[in-house]
Amino acid sequence: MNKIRRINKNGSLGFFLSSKFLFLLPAFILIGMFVIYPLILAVGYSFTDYYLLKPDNISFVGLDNYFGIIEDKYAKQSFFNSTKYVIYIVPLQVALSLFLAILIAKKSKLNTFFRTAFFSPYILSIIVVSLLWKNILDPELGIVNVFLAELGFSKQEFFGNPDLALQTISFIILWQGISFQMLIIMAALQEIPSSLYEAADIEGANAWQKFRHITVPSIKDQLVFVLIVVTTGTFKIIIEPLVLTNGGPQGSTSSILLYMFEQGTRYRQIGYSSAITVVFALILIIIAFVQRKLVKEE
Amino acid sequence: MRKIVSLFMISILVFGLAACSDSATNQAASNDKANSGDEVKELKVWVHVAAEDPEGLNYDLRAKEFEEKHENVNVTVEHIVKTGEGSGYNDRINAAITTGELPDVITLESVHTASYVDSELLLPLNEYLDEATVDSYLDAIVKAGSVGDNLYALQSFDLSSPVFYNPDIFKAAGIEIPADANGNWTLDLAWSYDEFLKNAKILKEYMGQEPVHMFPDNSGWQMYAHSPIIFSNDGQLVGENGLDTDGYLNSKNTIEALKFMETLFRDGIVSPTARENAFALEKAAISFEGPWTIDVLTKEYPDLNWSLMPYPYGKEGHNSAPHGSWYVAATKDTKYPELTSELVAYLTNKDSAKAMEEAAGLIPGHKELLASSEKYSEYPRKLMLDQLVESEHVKPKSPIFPVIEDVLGDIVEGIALEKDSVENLVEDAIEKAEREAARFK
Repeated sequence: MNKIRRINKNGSLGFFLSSKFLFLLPAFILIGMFVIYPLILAVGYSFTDYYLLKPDNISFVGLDNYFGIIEDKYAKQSFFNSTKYVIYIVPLQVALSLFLAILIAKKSKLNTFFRTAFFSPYILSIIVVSLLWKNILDPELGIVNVFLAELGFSKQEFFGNPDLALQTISFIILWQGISFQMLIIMAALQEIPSSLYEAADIEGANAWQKFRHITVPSIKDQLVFVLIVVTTGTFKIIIEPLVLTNGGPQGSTSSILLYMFEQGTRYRQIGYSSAITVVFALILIIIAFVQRKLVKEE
Repeated sequence: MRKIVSLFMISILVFGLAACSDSATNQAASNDKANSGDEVKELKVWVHVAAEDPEGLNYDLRAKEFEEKHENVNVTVEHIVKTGEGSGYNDRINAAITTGELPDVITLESVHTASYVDSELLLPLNEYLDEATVDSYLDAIVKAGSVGDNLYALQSFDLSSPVFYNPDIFKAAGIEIPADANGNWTLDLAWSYDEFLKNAKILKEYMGQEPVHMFPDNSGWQMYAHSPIIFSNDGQLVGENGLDTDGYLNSKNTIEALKFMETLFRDGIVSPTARENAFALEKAAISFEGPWTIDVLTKEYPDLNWSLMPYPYGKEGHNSAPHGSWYVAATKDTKYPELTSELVAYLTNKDSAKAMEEAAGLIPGHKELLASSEKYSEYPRKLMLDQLVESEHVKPKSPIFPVIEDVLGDIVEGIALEKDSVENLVEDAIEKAEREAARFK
């Protein structure tokens, strides 16, 4: 042990022999295997015409795949759809998470019940949630349409109508995801010293002023975290449109990832699919960077 | 630290032993055979159906029989259930192609044979099977499993999707049901597009709702069940090379057939949204359904009066009806091409055909069995058999089949949703297909 300490002080080799590194080693290996290596492969493949059924016949095609994305209107539609998902989901999810967290942050038996109730959708698998809502919103037998019919309204094709399908899927994602973000914000709310609010009460501050000048600044870091996680998570939507609509009708619910998945598995165009992945990864990195930068500057 | 290292080593040992356990069982069997002196030939078969499924059971049984008939041959059937696009079975096949570890025999959707052949993954069976063996299969099966001059895939059964109709509603609406001397609606009495439209309008007036049920969304169903409507008008989706769509998908005949489908939606004959159980609940008088619906109607709706009618046709004398299923093929990775080809024939032999007819009501895929088939000797089921034998039209043989399938789905769904004119939908589809095809040219 003394020997290791000596090397630590004298050179970088010490770090690799230190217990800190050994503890991190499994994580490094896993990240290397499942994140770094596939990412490097994807970048490499994106410059080739790799077709899944001909793995031994790969040629370098330069930027062809990237130019292909620019000319591909279905890829553009998917990018546009993903942006729509973000616009529909992110502001609402952050705002509603914050609202619900404030509502049930205080410790009481009723709030404990609500916390459990609000959190329960999150523990269900995405596929189960998707199938559950598919049944609830079924055009013929779904409870929502039966109810609408009882009220004299016409039945709605929630997943079959291109003008409604993306909003419906957004609602389902929002419904399931909100509870986890709520939990993060609630934990942050509970860390705010009550003395701050007591001081504000003495100063005669109203609820809005307390929210604006105490609550929001105190949980700013957590809000930024939630914002980044929800934004990148929403961009990564794939299972819900895959299970509920398979990207249809007429590609109206297809996301970038779903399009990438379809190109890779169904059309077997690994080169093109990799190029989409690289563009997608760059977009996510830029968004996270900009969000972080904007909040920091503020 | 020592404890951690020990734990790590034990884990590796445990995982290693666990990983070996499955192959160890097979190895014991191999050793028994190896003791007889000769080399043991190991053949691996991957199938997309569960072991409990009638088709899965059948593969296991035939594999066992094949082993018994051949000394020093071990056949291992692995059931990798297909759970969806890019998952389960397909995922495993894709991975095996990438790593060059395909088994000796695989199952595949017959329509994907061309792309597998294009990638030189399949073994031409006709080089190893005698003519009599190949000739015993229905022509429809041999055609669907062939690419160019070679046969690559076989199956013991085939499917032909029927069109259901409700005789009670027909009679009540005043429609005369075409019938031969025996009172059956035979293939030669099929309605033309115009007759279909005329009668559907009468049904609509009587029923006060869309009388015909079709699935309008984009799925493989469009290629399977609705492309025959296009083929019967001498329309094509793609050229002979399997890559050119311009000049085929937008040919006069194909557009004409698509316009017929458009009329069905525009005139309120078919609902633009799928109506669950519409036919079973008598909300539709005609329905384009899968052959499995027969069992569902028989068991769950015993009071429903149903029968089968032929597919409507476009050009006189050009009837066409759906067919196709999952086929069995040998891969080029096999060390024993002759034996593997023989295994493919064995897995799909006449006993298999009989078993699949009994267990699942599927059309037996061997000529010899047609006459003795109990289920398919009488109408209305016989109509399905006649459709398969007399009016099958082989689906496009294309290395870009998944794209062709998708664009047809896009067109029909676009028609149903009134997204655009048929011509514009077709032009969009051609653009998409050509872009994919360019990678193969």
